[in-house]
Amino acid sequence: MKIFTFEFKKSFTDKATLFFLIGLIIINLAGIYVNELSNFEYGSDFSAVKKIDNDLMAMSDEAAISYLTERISVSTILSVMQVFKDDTDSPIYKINMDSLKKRYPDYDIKNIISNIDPIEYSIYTHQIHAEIKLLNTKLKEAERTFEYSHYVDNIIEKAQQVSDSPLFQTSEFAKRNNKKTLEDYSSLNVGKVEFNSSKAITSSTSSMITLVLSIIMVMFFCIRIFVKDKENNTIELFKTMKYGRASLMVSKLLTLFFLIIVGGLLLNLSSLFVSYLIYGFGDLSAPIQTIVGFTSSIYEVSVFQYLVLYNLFNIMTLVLLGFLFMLIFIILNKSLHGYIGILAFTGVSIALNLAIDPVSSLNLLKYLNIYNFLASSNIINRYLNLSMFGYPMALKDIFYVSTLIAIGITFFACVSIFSKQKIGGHSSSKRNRISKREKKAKAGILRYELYKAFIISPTLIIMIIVLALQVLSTKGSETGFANIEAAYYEYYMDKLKGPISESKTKYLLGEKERVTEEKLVSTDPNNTYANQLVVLDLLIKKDMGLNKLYEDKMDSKNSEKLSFIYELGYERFLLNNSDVLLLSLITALLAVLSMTNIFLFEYRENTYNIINVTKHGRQRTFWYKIGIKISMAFLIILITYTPFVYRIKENYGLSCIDAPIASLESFSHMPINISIGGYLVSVFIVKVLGLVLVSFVISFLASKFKSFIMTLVVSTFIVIVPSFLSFIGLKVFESILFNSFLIGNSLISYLGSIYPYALFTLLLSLVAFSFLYIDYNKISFTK
Amino acid sequence: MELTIKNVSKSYKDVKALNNFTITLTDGVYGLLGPNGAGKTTLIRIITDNMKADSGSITFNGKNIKEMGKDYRSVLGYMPQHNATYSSFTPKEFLSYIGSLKGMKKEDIEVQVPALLKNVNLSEVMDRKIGTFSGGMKQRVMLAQALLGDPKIVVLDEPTAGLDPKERIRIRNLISSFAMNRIVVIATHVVSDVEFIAKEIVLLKKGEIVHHDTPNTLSRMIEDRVYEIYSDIDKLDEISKKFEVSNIQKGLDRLAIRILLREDQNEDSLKNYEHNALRASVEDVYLHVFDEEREHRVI
Repeated sequence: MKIFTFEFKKSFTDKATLFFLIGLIIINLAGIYVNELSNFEYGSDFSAVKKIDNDLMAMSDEAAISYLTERISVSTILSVMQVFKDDTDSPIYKINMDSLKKRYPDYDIKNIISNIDPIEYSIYTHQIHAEIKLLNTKLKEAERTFEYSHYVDNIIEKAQQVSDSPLFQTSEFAKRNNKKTLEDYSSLNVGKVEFNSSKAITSSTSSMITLVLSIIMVMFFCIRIFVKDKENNTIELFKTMKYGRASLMVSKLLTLFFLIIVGGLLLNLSSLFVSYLIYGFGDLSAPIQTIVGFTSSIYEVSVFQYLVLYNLFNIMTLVLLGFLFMLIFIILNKSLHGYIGILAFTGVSIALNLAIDPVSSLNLLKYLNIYNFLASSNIINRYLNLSMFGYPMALKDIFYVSTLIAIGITFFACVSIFSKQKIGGHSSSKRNRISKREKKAKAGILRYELYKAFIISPTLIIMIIVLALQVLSTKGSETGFANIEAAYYEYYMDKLKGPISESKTKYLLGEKERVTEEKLVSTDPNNTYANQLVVLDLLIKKDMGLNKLYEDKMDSKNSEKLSFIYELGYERFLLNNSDVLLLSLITALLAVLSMTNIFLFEYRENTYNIINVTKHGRQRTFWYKIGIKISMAFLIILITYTPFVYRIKENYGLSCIDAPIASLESFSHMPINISIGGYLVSVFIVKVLGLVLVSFVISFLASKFKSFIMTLVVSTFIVIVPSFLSFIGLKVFESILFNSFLIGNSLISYLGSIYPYALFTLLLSLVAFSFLYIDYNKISFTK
Repeated sequence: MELTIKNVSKSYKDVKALNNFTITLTDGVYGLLGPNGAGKTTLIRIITDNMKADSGSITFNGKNIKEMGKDYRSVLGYMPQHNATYSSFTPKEFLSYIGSLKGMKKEDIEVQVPALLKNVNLSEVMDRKIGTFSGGMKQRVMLAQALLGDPKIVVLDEPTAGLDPKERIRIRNLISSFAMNRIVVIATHVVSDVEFIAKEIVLLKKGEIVHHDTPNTLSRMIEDRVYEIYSDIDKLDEISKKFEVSNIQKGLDRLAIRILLREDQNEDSLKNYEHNALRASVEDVYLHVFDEEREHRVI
């Protein structure tokens, strides 16, 4: 008990833990807030959703649907006619008028256009298009709750039909599953399902930001509770004591348990708080089925009870995660290996969850998966039975059982392995053979710095593995045409590629004429001609755009290079798509793994004080280390991007590389004197610069923390987490911290909004570098 | 050759670690003795330019060491108190690396590294990783790196910690042989490390020099105050309470208890015991000076 009390107090009064938790909560609050606002689709008034939800909740579903339908109709009329309302004689006015009269026969369209102001009518968003979007969304929500009982009846009816027909009884599991579904929904007894404000609940309980931060939080707790002691060699000392094994580990695990409860609750509550601020809560006593996305849930709980359940499930999962991380750190002796183990474990969980098909025979791995459990709302919001030896078992039941058992097993494993573990000795016979031939002593600071950076820290091995994985991932990946249009597009591009010309314009127009004629005489059952025409129209539009650019630009030398370019390949690594974001994440990961040790090595091995007092142990050693870091940045970019660029070249070609980048539609705003090749080089230089800036900050952190694992965790937080969040679709993170450099595309193509973030990152890195320089070289500004 | 430390002070918050420390060191071995917290490590860190003093200056041959910068560090050899090696390096690699850092030429490294490893008795294992070494072996690697490159100033912090008696004597002799034309500063608790090889002993307490002189002169300070009492074990308690005991040796049938007479005592105080006068050692001086009850300076 005493040991537990001591561990508990130590952890809960640890300043680093407290500050870290506070920092996480602030980032969670800010991250969710910024993400919600940047993805807000309904204009600039963020209280629009709150207002409309409040109005709709005061009505019955039927009245709400009627209300929304009316407002949508009028808003649509206003939106269509607002441009033409003063031009009543124009043919387009008449066409639109006729069309609207047919669509809305019960409405006096002229009266609406004359007497209603679109902005005033848009009482929620103050913008007519945003208003229509919002109203449509709410209409779908209202219809969903209005039709809930029909929805359930449909499920029961279908289940009954399937049950009655042997045709659908494909397996024992299918039979049993159908029966279970019928029973579950038949016995479902929820209160009245009416319209309810959903957004706050869904946004707070399915936030990827909170999920990622909670993983980081758990890792940090494990480090503070256990790994730090290992690093300081105090574990070795404790193990010589009576209660220094099983009792100690039990105390640490219990402390971790309580820390996770507190940290997890605080994080979740902060998500709830910020979501409430933006969207407001609806009726918390209403059934959970009133919330969007929870229609198929068979939980007979209220919204408030759901929030409690969600927190319970989430905390249970985090506890399991914490114990798993502890087990990894116990088993893997070195902190770096533990860190890589955790990354690998998390990565594999995510990959299994995302890659496995729901109907695959491996779907257990998809759902019985810690990443899936962390998205705890999924356990409650959907109805899903998994096959356990042919018997259907609800995901929620599997969750309870598997999590509790897993927690027990990992707890026991941690205590057992830790108690029995011996201190890692160095085997003299196997690893250290005395050399028979006496070799000369080799001199050179750079030699030894490179040796430390690449060999002793397993950077070289990591880089080789990543290169191998990158190469493997490009093998066998061939482009298939997504559709006929894509095939035609490539066909025509192949003919047209190169500088624009009159003959190409004539060719396009000629082709369009020919295809149009052929279409007229053919039935075109497969829409082949129609597809071809779509492509030709696109190309003609492109040709017009390029010709206009040619005429507008003063610089005739570069204007002549304006070309038709098959841009798919270039766009794969010049636009912010999932490939580019993933590669940026890989570079971030590699940077943290390979660069952390460079300035840290001396502190870890305690050699800083002797090196620092030698002639070349300051400036020269410092610049060698910086040089190595810059070289690593280049290497990382090469390793990560070379296979990818090769794949793009093989599949799409990289033609007209000296043509102006403005030839590509997405880059038509760029200056004409920048070639595609030049632009590519600039993007890669920016990426290298990004890694160099990352290296400065990591080095600074290393010199301050003097602890490998702390530097690793904080670097992960600053460098890898934003990259991961942008990769999973949170666009707002694409410009945060180092991402603006590591992704590179937006920064080079002059997006003004990204410059302040990039500048901030640059300044931060330079300041970190300055402090590092002063600290490492012991520069004093006073005599 | 002269290293002058003048009025150097250093404080950590309210604690004055060094207080107007002044000394001039020339060729030879200097022993820096003092209890824990005396300021030895602080002084060493300032001498090795690893820490900035609050006030005062250090000059080497008349030049301020801060202004000398890496030229000063090129003549410095330092062995810290705690092990500071790369466990993945062999001693040969480690010394070669240190040699490079010290700005030595490749040819000099190739000659000096094996020679030094031989001197510290590590030739047989020079290609084995340091991580496999015992504490004493690591200590020897540390000493070797401090002596590498022909430094003019050698600062050794607890150089014999972790070594067996035979090793201790070996290292002591090595340091002694090395001290020709060099300034060697040895900070230690083990008085015997410096008693026979030091030119001067500096006694440091609470950041100030309590005394600074040759071992002989220091010993003469407490001449006629060191005795050996021969007694049974029953009287040990009584003797310990009466006198300051510095050593107890068990003879065949009785104990030989080495004691220091306090200031208010003389030989008459020993009349009830069989006793012999002994020659004072530096260790006796250490115990005498750093007796907790004494607060005033001994001059």
